[in-house]
Amino acid sequence: MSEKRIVVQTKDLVKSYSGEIYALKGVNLTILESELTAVMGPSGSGKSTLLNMIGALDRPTSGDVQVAGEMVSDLADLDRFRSRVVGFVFQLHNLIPTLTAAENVTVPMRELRMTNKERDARAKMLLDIVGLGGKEFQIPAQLSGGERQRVAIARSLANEPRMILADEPTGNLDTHSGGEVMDIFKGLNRNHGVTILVVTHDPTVARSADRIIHLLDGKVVRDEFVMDPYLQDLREFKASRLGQSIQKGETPLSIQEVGLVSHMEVLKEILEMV
Amino acid sequence: MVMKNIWRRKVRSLLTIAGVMIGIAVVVALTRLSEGIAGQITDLMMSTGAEITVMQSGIADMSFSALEEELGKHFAEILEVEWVSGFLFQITQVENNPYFVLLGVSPNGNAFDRFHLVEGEGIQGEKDLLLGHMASDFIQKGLNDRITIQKETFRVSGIYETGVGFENGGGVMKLSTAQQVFKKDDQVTLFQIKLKPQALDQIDEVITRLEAEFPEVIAYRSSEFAQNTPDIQMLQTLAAAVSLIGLLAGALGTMNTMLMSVFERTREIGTLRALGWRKVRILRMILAEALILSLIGCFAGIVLAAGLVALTGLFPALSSLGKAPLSGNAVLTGLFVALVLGAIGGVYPAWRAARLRPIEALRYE
Repeated sequence: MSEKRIVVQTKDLVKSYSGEIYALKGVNLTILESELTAVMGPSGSGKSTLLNMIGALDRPTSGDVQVAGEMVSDLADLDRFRSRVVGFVFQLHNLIPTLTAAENVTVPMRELRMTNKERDARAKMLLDIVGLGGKEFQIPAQLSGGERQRVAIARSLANEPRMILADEPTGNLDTHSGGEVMDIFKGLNRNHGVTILVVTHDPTVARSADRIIHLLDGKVVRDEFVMDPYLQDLREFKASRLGQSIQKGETPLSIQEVGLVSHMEVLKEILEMV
Repeated sequence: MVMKNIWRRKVRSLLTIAGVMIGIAVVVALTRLSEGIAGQITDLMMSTGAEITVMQSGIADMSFSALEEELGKHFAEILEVEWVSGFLFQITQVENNPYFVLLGVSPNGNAFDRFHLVEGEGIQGEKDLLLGHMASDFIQKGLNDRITIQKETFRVSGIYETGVGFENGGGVMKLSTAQQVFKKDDQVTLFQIKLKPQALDQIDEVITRLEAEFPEVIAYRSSEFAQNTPDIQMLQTLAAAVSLIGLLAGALGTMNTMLMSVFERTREIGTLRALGWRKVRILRMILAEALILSLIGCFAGIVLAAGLVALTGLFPALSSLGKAPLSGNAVLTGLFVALVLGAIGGVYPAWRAARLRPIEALRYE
């Protein structure tokens, strides 16, 4: 298996306001290509600030931010970086209300040398990917909240960025629409290898990711890879009293009553593998 | 995107266009009118073929000029002079026309020849009057009808037309008759001097000698008379001043509209910057919106100006101004002014929009 490239690397990243309020207090993290990472934390933990640093919307007070090999903290042309390297998805989709879905998707492409035909074709393709084929000519007012966010996702892919930065993308959506949005992110990540960083306070959203970085008071307090839910269930069973009995070779009454005695060896082997 | 942004706030855009339209209409109409009036006076001065026009020095308005008729004889003694003709120029009320231009013309030179008669036999007696064809239509007087001027009654002995609106909207009588009616004995308003053919390259020298020998007069080339008279200059200055006020109002209106538009779209502009749009693109977008509003207002203003100029048809002496199409100069002036308006109105809002920090703009409520 080829080694994945580093897309984001921060070193001792600090952001303060007026030298008194510290939003980030020395964050060190690395995000690899094709990872779907969630940054979780309570309000004021610094997760949006971290996103803004990575996306070159703001400059750090100290420390380094490297994205796709570029030292963002030292960059002179942040506009070019935001145009070519990252794509943003905001909590409030921030679509232009007078433009159609396709026109909204083409907005970032205006900075590239593309013909109108090329832009339109790419916009249509991206809208198809996010499941909005046939809705190219609808304006945001004619779309549901979930559909608008999907247009925003398509827009974030317009210039083939190295990664997508999503700030609370499901924050304004109902559970069903939020689930659809996360499914799209997972699909983009799994099927197209898109590196995605999602900021959220919602554990359900975070569990859709492969990895969760927990922030608290501007610091990373935990950085874990999300387990497969079935594997998680098995581990919990292994740790339970019944699981421990089975591993010891005991045949508890509950095993006898359900007629699983003949399957004890298999059960024991499975638990040993977990 | 620019056109959609303009159409987003239809009423506000239309009001801004209306403001620009009025500013442009004022500029174009006043330019046209002052050009037209200057042109009419130039045509008047050049219609006799005289190269030099002389009036009293030190006065602000040509109609106040008063010269001794005797001066004409002295002018005629100048070697280069072929003939001298004196005119008395009066504006008076006749019938329902408050702006009736009356010329008292001396018989010297070909002063009367240019009044091409379409009806009648011309001036025969002291109480005869020639009427311009536009004046005839306006006051509903024809050949042999009677007209009262300054309580004296005159017979319309001929209907004429010339190429000059002032003249077509007024009337002509003998100089002596006009002097008597308006109690300006032995006076003329101005002299026209025709040079001999061999002296046509000495116009400026003759003018210099005239002014040196006769300090009470000022002389101009007939072709430049209008541009040099104080009243035309004052008219042009007044036109410029009123135009400037109109322009300022238009520019401020445009700037207000664009500033409001930028404030309302703060978050949107932040999004565009976050998506990679450069400052210069934002600036170009806002400026383009301002310029398009101004250009639309310009075209509407030119149409309105044409209508305003056409209203001069209410006065027969000025009606020829209304018939002539807007000059290329007037239209180009309007276009230039519209672009300046758009630039002035849009540059500050565009600069503000481009300076917005994306992170702050995205947080704007």
